[in-house]
Amino acid sequence: MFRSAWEWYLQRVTGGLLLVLLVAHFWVEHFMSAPLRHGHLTYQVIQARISNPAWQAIDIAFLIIALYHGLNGLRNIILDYGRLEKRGVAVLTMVLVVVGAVWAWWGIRAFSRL
Amino acid sequence: MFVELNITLRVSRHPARNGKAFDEYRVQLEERMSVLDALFRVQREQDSSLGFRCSCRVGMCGTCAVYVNRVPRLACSTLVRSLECDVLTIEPLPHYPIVKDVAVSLQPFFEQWRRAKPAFRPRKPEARDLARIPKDSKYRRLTPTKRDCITCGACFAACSIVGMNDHYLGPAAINKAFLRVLDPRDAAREERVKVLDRSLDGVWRCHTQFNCTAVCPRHIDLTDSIVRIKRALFWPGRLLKP
Ligand code: SF4
Ligand code: FES
Repeated sequence: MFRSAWEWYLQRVTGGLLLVLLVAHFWVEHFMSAPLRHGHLTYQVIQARISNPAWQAIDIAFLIIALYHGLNGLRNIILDYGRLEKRGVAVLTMVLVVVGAVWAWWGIRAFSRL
Repeated sequence: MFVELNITLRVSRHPARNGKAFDEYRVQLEERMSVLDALFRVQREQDSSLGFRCSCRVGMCGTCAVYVNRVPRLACSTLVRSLECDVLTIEPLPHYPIVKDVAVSLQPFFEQWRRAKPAFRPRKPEARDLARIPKDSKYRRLTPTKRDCITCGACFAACSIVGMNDHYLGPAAINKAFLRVLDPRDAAREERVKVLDRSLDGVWRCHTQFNCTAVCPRHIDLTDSIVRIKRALFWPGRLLKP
């Protein structure tokens, strides 16, 4: 597969995954947990859930997938407008990779504070 | 029976004349007259300063493309009657520098055309025998309807991505590269594929809107060529094999 074909492919795959993960996320956060339904929602209830390694794995995957999809989508919009030259595209890609990496690290680090 | 049409022609003027961007002319046309005939009638009978381009007058050279009622069309091959309207608005094709009135320069189109490396590069330049293309080859199966481009530039004018992105190859150049990439006799496939795969201005910028296909006077399915190139970049083995 050629390089830009990979970018295109991952954008579709992450888009599909986001559809599932977003619906699941909203469902879990707003409707599913029993304390939420019965009005006993506390910090401890949420902490217990996000201390679970399985939930952590899902949330971290969600974060990375959303970051790739969002930042690559932004890159696509900027490229569509065609105001950049070759060097500009390289700089833009680097900046977005750094933003994505820092953002992902920031999000993942939050779990270590639990 | 001899039918006459009474039409108002609104023609874009560049540079604007007397502060007006459009001039209006009433013309009487016969039933089988084209938009180009209408322009000639105005030029001969009412306003000799009107500027437009044409050459073959039979839909072969691609010189006369203009924006007719906001759709890129060949002026010589579009019958006024077929447009079913009393007022025809004729403007220069969008996405090109205007030379005069409705005549444009196709320079941006040919710059992209050149980038797609349109010239055939033979695999065996010294070969004396004729290269045969097998009947069941992909080239024979997929390209017969895609070889008739007359470089009129209508697809480039209709493409909204070209309108936003000056670097984008555009439909006709991609179609030309598609023909070469599939041609088993061609030796420059890798170079062409590199240009097509560029994220800034290659096939990935296409949003599959079909505007190009809708306006091509040769009925070339340009969007199909673009999508097939995308597929080939995704699964190189499937399309790029001779
Ligand atoms: S592909 Fe069709 S619309 Fe585009 S330049 Fe060729 S003939 Fe004209
Ligand atoms: S004048 Fe040649 S295509 Fe119209």
